[in-house]
Amino acid sequence: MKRTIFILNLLANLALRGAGINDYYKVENIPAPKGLDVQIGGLTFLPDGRLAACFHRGEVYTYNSKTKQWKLFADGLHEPLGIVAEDDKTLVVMQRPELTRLRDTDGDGKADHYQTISDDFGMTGNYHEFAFGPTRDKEGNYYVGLNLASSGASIRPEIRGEFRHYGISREQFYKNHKAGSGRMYSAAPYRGWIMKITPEGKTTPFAPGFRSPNGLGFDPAGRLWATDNQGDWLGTSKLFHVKQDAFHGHPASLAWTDSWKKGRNPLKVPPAEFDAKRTRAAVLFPQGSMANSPTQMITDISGGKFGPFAGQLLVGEMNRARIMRILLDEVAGETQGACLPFIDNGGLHRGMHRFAFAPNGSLWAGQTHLSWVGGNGLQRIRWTGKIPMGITAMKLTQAGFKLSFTKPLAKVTAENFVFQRYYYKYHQSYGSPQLGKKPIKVTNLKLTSDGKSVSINLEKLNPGYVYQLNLKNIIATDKTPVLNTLICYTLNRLTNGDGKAPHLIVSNSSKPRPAKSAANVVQAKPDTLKGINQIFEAEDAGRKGPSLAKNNGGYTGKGFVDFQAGSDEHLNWIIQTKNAGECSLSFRYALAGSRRPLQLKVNGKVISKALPFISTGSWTSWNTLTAIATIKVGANDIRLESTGASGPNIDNLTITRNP
Amino acid sequence: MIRVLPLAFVAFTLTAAPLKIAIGTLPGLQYDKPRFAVDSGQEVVLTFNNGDEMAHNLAIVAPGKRLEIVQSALTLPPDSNYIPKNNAVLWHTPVLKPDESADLKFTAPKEKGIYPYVCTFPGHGLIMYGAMYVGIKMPMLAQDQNVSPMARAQNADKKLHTWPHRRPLMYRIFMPDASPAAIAVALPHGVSYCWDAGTCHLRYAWIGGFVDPMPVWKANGNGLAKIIGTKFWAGTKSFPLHKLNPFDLRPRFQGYRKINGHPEFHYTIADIDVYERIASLPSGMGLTRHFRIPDVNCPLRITIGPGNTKVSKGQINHGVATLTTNEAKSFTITHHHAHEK
Repeated sequence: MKRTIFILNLLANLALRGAGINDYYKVENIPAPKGLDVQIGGLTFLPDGRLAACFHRGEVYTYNSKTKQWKLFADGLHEPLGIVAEDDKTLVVMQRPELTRLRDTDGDGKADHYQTISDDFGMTGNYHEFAFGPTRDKEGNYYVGLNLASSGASIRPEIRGEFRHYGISREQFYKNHKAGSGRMYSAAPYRGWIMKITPEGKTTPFAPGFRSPNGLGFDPAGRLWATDNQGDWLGTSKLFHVKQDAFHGHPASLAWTDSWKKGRNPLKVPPAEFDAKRTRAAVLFPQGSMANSPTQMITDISGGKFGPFAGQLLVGEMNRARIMRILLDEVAGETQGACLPFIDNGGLHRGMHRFAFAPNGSLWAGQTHLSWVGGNGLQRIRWTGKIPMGITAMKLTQAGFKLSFTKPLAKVTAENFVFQRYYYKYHQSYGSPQLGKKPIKVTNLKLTSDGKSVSINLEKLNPGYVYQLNLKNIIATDKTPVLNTLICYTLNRLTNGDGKAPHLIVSNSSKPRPAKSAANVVQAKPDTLKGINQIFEAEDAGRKGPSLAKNNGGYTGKGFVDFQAGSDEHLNWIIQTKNAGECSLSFRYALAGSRRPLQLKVNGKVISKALPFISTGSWTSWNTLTAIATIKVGANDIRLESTGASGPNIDNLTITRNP
Repeated sequence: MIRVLPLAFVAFTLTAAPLKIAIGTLPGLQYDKPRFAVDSGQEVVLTFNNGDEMAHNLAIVAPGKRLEIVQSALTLPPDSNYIPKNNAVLWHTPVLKPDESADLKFTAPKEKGIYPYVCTFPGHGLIMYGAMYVGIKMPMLAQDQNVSPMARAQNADKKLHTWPHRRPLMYRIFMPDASPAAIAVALPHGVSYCWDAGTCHLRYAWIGGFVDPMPVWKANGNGLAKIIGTKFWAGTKSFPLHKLNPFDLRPRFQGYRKINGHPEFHYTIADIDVYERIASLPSGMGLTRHFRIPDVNCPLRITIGPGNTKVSKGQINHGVATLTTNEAKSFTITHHHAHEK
């Protein structure tokens, strides 16, 4: 009897879950030519229907999906990260040093004229100065995004353009860039800006305040959008409606505005001054649950050939196999809105970097990683014709939200809608934990007569918060369960226009509040590496934040170390040795949930920005993750740091000398 | 009687037939055989066939002496076959033109060891070499530090693109001793150069291989491409063309056209278009810069870097070439390797 009930339950569950993403969307891998490093920087379709793609090692290929023929169009470009077709023989690419027009003037199918449209911006040679875009407005003007430099490296001995950095000379900065650079810096003209470039090459700085604007795109209404990546001054990743001359939040680029006083260091300016000036992002992507590195934004221009979400914005994500949808909402004359996972897994790769809609309405997606978390390859995604159950709109009302779905809802109660809210700090530190986190009660529900929309009243609505909604057991009248259950709405303004959110900023002058984990500051017990292979327990390491724990079995020594909050925690071993050399550093860890990368530093040098601790399956399954680093004679500081997300449980570190 | 003769013949060949080794060339300064093994004291006939587009030789040298020989060959005149008078050179062919071949007959040394063979033509020997193993077991090729890096990499199947080795080839990539907007170009005949789109001029040139781009490509760009070969010319750090009148302006890069795969760079100073195309000398010992300035409206001064340089028109005084307005419309500058006349 028990067994029968179990089987019935199982069948019911299967019926409920039966509809997976591949019932609605099929993902297909497109084979690339042998020998090509398939890290894709840009994708576009030519008017004649061929695909054009640019790649990490500087090649541009076209692909005919009917004949499956790849053809080399251009090569030798420097990290191209975007491509637009002017006609069947003319492509425009953004590469590190310039915006370039590739022209096939003799009709042999290969570019013979590489015409510089604009190189009217600076480059210090810092690796993080990526150049993104282009995207094009209706008049044919191009917009490109210039990434800031990273304090992970200095500038090069020779740079292009003027050097400017708070009164420090270029030579001084070259020698010691850590002296006051902040995490991300703008030491050459217009780093951190979105630039406007006419087809003839006239170049104007368009909007400052960006950190890493990887995804630029226009929507059908002619609005320019850009994604930006979590980090310093970005508590979490964002989608901005880009406005000319408006300040978009990261202060480093302000050094290149006319009004900025020469030599003034943004790191010494009270954040309240920036907060008063800044444009808030229309949509925040909560770090961890939604996206860690959002990529290109593309509008679904398929006119319904790609399913029921035509006209919506889609955004890719680097760190997981995910494409998101954006639901915009006009509130008191400003645009804000929500993001939700759209296609998760189902054969998608990680590193969803670039997109293009084919004339037949299929979505082509190219991946990259550049040695960070991501993937490689080219994929085609096709709609099967079956309508998934999903949210089509989330609109703010006076008392809550109105949600609309693709299909009528079976029946709804308050238990189906679980709301919470939180906010991210605006400050110069890297990332932000979710603060002010609080469940929000549903006070009233009303289904519209067609059953496709529901108005939800909430106990509290305040500007400056992300309202996260988890759908529980939502089913359409035709029994299909809702495809994705998470949606996050960025409430910048109420319907009455109130947008006051003083809690978002943290003054430089105020003393930092002692963290919850302040008691957990422990100095490392120095140890000595004697052999060629030695284990060092985490419980003997120094730590700020993580606590010592024993509650999950399988550890070595006296216990393990449990990371607590999101950022600014660390675990550090002090290891002395008489011999310098290359070593393998193997961290034994356990992790039940999804990936929790930590930054690895050895003697202050970043070895890995995001050492990829992936799930071990449970908190009692221990695996090792190995990194290679060089240690010096004397005391070595081997340090794992959290940078925005929590870390795994760490049991020990094994150091092995490499031959 | 009839049956005895073949037996006698077999016995003769078993004792006296030397080991035959045939070595050819691959594009990109490589022998087609990265290494071979012989026994101590074995008779060897090595046939070196130069199937390449440029001149090469093959010298077998004492263990560990390759770089020393390559260095001392750099300063030799062409009629020396680039073979220094040094006991470490055990056997060598003369310099062979394309499609010539030569045999080396020798008895392998009694002393076990790894004997490099190398092309001592200036610049080639840094990457064009292999290893003769005498009485020693060879390690896995991908790990063999005695063969050229390219042979190792090829064995590890590290193809950089979908196409095989080819010249001309160009990369816009981070280069040493240039601005971040650098361009590296590999020309035929083993000549390569770095042209800087940030400053709009030729920075330096080298002979040998091209570049290893992997320090830049393997990750996110935090590295420099590595030059494979020997620099034979380096120019000034700043832009070398000076308009005498009215005054100097910053050159602006406009891009390039590819002519048979060779870029012709284009930049403007004020509104004057300047075009520069660079070709290698067939000897592989230098390059010629072809300038066109069709609308030039004043005489030109050009700072010529150090080294063996010729200008097709005008006068050179104290390292500065002076051209009249008419001469400046079209002229060439040739940078020779120091030992090429």
